Amino acid sequence: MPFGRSRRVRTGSQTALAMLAFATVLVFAGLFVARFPERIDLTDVGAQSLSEETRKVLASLETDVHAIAFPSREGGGPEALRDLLENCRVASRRFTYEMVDAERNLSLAKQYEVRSLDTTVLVAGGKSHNVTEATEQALTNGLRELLLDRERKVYFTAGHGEHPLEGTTNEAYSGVRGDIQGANFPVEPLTLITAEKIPDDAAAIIIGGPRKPFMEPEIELLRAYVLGGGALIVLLDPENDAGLRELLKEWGVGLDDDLIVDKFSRMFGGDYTTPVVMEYNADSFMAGFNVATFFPEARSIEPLSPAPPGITVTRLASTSQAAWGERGTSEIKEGVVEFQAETDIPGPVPVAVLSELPPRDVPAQVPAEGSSQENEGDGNGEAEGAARGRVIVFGDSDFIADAYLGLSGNADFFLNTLEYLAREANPVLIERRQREGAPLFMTAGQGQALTLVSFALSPGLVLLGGLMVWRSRRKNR
Amino acid sequence: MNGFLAVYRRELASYFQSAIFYVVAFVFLGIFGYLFFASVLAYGYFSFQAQDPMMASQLNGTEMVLTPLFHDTSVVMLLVMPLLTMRAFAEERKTGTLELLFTYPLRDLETLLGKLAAVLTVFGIVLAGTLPCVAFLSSLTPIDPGVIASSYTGLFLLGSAFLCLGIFVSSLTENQIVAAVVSFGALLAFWLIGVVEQFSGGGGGGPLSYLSILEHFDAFTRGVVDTRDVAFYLLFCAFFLFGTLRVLESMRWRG
Repeated sequence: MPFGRSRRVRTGSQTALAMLAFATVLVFAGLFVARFPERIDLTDVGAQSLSEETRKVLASLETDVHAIAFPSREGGGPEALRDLLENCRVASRRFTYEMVDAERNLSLAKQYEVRSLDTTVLVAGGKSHNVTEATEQALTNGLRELLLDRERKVYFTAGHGEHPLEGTTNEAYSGVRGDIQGANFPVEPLTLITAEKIPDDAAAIIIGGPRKPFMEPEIELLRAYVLGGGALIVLLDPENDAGLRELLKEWGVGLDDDLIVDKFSRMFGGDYTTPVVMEYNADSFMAGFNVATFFPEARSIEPLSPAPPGITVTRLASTSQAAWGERGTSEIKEGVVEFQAETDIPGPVPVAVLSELPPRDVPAQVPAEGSSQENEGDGNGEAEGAARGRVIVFGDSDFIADAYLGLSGNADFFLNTLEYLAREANPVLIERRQREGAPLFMTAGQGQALTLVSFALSPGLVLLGGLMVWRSRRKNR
Repeated sequence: MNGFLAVYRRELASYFQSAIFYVVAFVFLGIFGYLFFASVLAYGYFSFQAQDPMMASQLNGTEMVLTPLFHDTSVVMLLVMPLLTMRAFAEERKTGTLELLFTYPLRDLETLLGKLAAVLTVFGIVLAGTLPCVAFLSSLTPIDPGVIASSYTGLFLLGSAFLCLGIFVSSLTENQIVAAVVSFGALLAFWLIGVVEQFSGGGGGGPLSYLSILEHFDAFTRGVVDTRDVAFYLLFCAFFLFGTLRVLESMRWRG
């Protein structure tokens, strides 16, 4: 090898080695900076900052929490969710996250029972919790829910001929029981007559199609539970109010003695006493739900007007206009079903109604044990929240029985309502910090100015400068 | 310091006397102007289409115009920046003035920093040419000054990274076209490297995404200055400046 060439090779390889060594130093420098990250939010509304509430929840993390986000691909969804999770990661070293494409990781989505995009699964110590909204408020409340030391259970009342939780009969609730357990709520039966009070760990109480009336002490327990911020789901079939009529009336929910008839439903090959429901309240938590549900032999549930003071009553789901509430049950037995304007209830007929009681400060029923209480005592604002009792009444109990659970959107509808109710009674409320809307309407003059500024101003000045330099250089030649 | 200033002045003068600066600035500002024009028109169009108050409440100049505009600008920069740096050392090598420069009482670092400062000044002037559009937008609709500040900070850091890589490549060859093409290819590689992870099913966030040069720019356009992003650009610059210094030193030794 000639001497010059060998020297070139030597200096070249020395340069490459030096760069490699320097790159290693830079990698460590980068890792050091990544270990102590800071995010400075320069937006005028603080859109990229976490609220004080979220910071407190993150600061109180004692176990590692890993978030698996399944973002939607539309709009700014992924960026907004990533920013939110990144802010959480920067705020707490115990918080990590990953973004997962749900379409390419179906098994993972299935493993965590992800039913919609923009869901974030929070995983900590073998427990998981699904946050179905990509908002800071939902994430913070999800974290609090996940970190509650004790398990919150869903109780089904027993002793009044309700649907059995186990068994292979069509009327059993074994399918829905499995779904609820899949949503991380253990399910247990509850015999009210022998109970002194509703258990403190109750996330929700479900009364599933009772055939015998509740006794006064049982009703008293239910009343106290809901007034104390509890969540109650009542599923009642026609011709049986289980003695709950007066109790529900106190909360603005009326029961009518009718049977819903839906001739439209019969067109699908079903029975006309199985109304199809396609109308959901878009202003409630049901917004975006657009799958048909079927309610075999249902009664109408009436939101009372005016509602009792302070109580908000909302119609959640209604039949089509073609259905009606048939009051003359004898006509049905005779096989004659025609709408009678004088006696029947015209459609659309509500089949599910939500009643929300005014907030009340009742510490007894709000999470009050173990670490949750300690967290409240830390001054993180939880104790300031007020419990708000919530009741949902369905005019049918069979639609979630094993025979009908898999029918269209029945399971999803019920689980959505349960998840809504079973959320913590006193969630942290975080105001969304977003810029005010400012639609742009330009005048003709502004439009001309836009063209001028965009195409003529800066490019024109550069062109002019270039021409001047070119001319002066030509002159100097 | 005197050496640095001498190189800086000489480089700056040569930029302003060469056609390449005017061509690059004209093309860059022309494309920026078009993107701005199209974004504002789209903003106006969607404002007319917004029938319900909910949709109208989500329309604002910052998110409708500024964020996408600055994002697109970063891609345009990737295309034109190599043209500013291709001559940094390649021309000196071609004309033989680099050897002359080595005979002056100048340290390599002064030479390098003088050239870098000159090209950064030129880039800063080109970037300043975009300000009239932003000022005009603020006269039409309220926009977030914080997002403007962070976006320009990000653009300057991103541009600096492009320029440092370009200078390094320019020091390796005496052909300006080769320097421009290789710089462009390298920048493109640093841009697309993060896409591999996204296509493999992950949502990003791995080591390859970390190396993606544009990935670190996104947060700036949303009004966030993340120390990790700033550090990435500074370390990126440091690496290629160090490489350039080593190449210069190697050339001295080779003679």
